[in-house]
Amino acid sequence: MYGFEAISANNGWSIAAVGIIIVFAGLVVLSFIISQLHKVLAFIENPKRFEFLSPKKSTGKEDKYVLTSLLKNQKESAKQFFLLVKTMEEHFSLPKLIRLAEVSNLEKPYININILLDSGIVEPDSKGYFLWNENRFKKLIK
Amino acid sequence: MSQKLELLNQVDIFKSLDNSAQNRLESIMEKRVISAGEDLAIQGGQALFFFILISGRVLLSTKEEKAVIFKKPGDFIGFELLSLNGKYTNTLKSLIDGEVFFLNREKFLEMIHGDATMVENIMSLWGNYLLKTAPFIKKLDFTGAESIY
Repeated sequence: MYGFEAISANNGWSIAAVGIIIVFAGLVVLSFIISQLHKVLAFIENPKRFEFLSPKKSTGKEDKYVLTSLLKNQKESAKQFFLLVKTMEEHFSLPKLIRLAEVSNLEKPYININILLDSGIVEPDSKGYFLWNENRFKKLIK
Repeated sequence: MSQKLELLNQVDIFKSLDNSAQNRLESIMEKRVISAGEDLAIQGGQALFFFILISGRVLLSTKEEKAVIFKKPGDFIGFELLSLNGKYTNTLKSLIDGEVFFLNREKFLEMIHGDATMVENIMSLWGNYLLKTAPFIKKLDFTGAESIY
């Protein structure tokens, strides 16, 4: 038995078809790998460009504050400082506020000022004076 | 590496100094614990020390009652931020407990005085640092006026 007859008798057509499919699939996979190779090279060259692969860093506004909540006594102290700040100008002097707090016998004025700074209730205005962040204050003493 | 050298390498002004200069600086640094409310420098008082913050938070207040907070390890508080003609020009207070390296002012100025390149380098970096941390404090012209610090 020779020729097409022999091919048919020994499943030659299906074997040929499977062979063609395997070779074709191999070529598709190879061409895909080659087409993506530039990304692998770019990653090796500069991994920082692919930050999206690492866990996302939180960008919430809360992150910029060391303190995101206040204890009961800290809230009380913040309220007392607020009363003092209300007597001052919008851009107030921090040393003056501390002095007022000392004169008014507020408890631990330095430590409490630090808490106000850490919580973002008091913020520097970059001109040497400070601002009272009322929204932040309201949120934290709730 | 010692804690002093480690911290010096975090200070913008001193990290570019060569090893020998950093070692000389290290020898005049003295670590001290500070507590909340403690005065480190009082305006008008004799200027004995400059400071490098290790931990904590310090408040520098000027005659005009302006203020700047230092809280970053390696923050350097010295030169015209603090002294002029041997007197403290501003007041430095600690807001919370922490640690500070005290730098003997006289020895420090002596140390940098003999090295023109070092002086130039430090003062140029100092100018940038001052602009970044306390731009409202006027920088003095250092040229030929080393003694005023």
